Amino acid sequence: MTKVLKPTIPHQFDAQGSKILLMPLDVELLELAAGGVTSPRADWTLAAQGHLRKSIGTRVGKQSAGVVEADASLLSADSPHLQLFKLHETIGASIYEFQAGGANGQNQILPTLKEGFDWSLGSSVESLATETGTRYALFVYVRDSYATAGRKAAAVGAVMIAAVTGVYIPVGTGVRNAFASLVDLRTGNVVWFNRLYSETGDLREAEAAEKTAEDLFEDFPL
Amino acid sequence: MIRQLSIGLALAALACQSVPLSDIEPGDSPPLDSEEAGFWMTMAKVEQSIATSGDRIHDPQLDAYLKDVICRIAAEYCSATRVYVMRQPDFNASMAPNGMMVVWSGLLIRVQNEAQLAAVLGHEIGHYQRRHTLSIFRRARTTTNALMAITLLTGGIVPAAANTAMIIGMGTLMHHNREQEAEADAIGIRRIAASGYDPREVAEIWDGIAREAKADKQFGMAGFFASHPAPETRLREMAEQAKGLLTEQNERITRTAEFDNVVAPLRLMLLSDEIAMRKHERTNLVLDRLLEVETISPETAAFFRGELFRVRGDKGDEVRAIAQYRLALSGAEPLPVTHRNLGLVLRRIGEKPLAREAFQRYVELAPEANDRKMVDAYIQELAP
Repeated sequence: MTKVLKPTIPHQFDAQGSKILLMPLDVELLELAAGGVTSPRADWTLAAQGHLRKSIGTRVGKQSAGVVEADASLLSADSPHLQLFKLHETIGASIYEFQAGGANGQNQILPTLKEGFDWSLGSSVESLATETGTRYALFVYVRDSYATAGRKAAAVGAVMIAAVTGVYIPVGTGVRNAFASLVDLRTGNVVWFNRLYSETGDLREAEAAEKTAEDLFEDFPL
Repeated sequence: MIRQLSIGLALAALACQSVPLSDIEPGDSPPLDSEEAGFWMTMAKVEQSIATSGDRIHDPQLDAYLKDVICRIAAEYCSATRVYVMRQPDFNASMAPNGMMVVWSGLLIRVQNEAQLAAVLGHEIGHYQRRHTLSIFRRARTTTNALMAITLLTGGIVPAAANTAMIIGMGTLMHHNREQEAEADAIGIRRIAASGYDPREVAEIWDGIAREAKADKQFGMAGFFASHPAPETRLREMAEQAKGLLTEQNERITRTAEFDNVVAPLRLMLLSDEIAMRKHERTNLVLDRLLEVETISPETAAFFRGELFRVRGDKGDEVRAIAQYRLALSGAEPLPVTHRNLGLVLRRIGEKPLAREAFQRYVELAPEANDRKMVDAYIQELAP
């Protein structure tokens, strides 16, 4: 399930010769235990980041001059661009939460955000464009959880118990929440945003990661 | 309700039966496919935001000093630890499983010397060494797993039990439990005694905290005493343990001057932050304890007591504040701001000529102050 948001005043995409700066991926894969406690998994996260980076590289930037991966030093404590990344963390989360439906796509949209999409990081983003020689910046956020065998057993158990007692207690076996956000590095405006919610697929495997990238960048303008 | 609570309690009790973990090996990082590696990954992000937080006190001298003390009491973990000071006017410090230590600035006016500081840092090292966070997390997961089974088996008839148990269970996820706190206390005091500090200093910390907690009923609101043993208990326990650890070498070694050298330049800010908490009685105790070890002068203490009266503003507090400010001004090098604040209180009670005089004295002493225009406006307003 995806939801693409575009600015109220349409942005004229500057495709020719434009490079896209892929910001460090904000991706975390979590393990969902039987009782519902999630714990982050470093190995899964690294695998998913690798797959996603590859898929994004082949999918994004086809109509422009391609993708440049941001150096990790961009987010070091003394980097002048770190605050920009943090600002987008907040803006991206706000769009996701209050305008794009949130974690399961069911969030009420804030009354003030029902019409109009005019989010911006401000023109100070220009320094990032100058330093990296890029025209747009792409931010990707993914939180994905996978059930342990115990949790899956609980889900099966819930169905069996429901058959006997007639009471069904839903036991989720993991969800994926993600968004991609494209920022114009001249104005700082968010010019394209997509939210994705899914209960299937496995980012730990290259093929499924490719499918996720396909959904996440459906209708991507560059 | 009682039944729900008892199920919750039973589950919490069940969760406490965890396998004790081995100490963390110095320089070790967990295997990538472990839950511990996941923690480290998450904490690396948290650490980045702490390191760049606006609330962080960037003081290279202080950071280096804290690191030195850590290395002195825990040489084996020296290179694995990073310490950050946050501008938070309460007594606290914490340690993450990846070696990130966070010290709240309020701690720096609540320990009287390096020995006491080292005890708190040693306590945090104890949590790290014993891998307490991981053990807590495993317990919480066991709790919720058991809970899921019960919810399913009872057909969801007692869903509220889930909430109770969740609250009790999750509470342990956020905080160390008392058993772990006691273990960390014991590690801390052993470490400082072995590094040559007087172990009797640890009880001094808890004496101060116990007195503050008595003076300020809300002291524990930050969740501190929810997980920590009562300060009186700790005081007794630490005094008892100190007896066995006291040697001829560590007796009376507090390194008060070394501590004071580093913290003195920050003390004005730290005490101003404490004043802003508007906790009159507890702040008075903090001042008493600083006077005890002579790290502040009686005149400096008087300035801050004047501040306490000024911000409280109860009946008669203006007169009390004025008396304290005047005492502060009798000292060797009073802060210029003493004149301004004296002026504010005098203005409040209608002592116009005296208030004007105090404001004028302030702008004489601090002509470049950033509130100059405001004070000039007062001077005009108070003109005869």
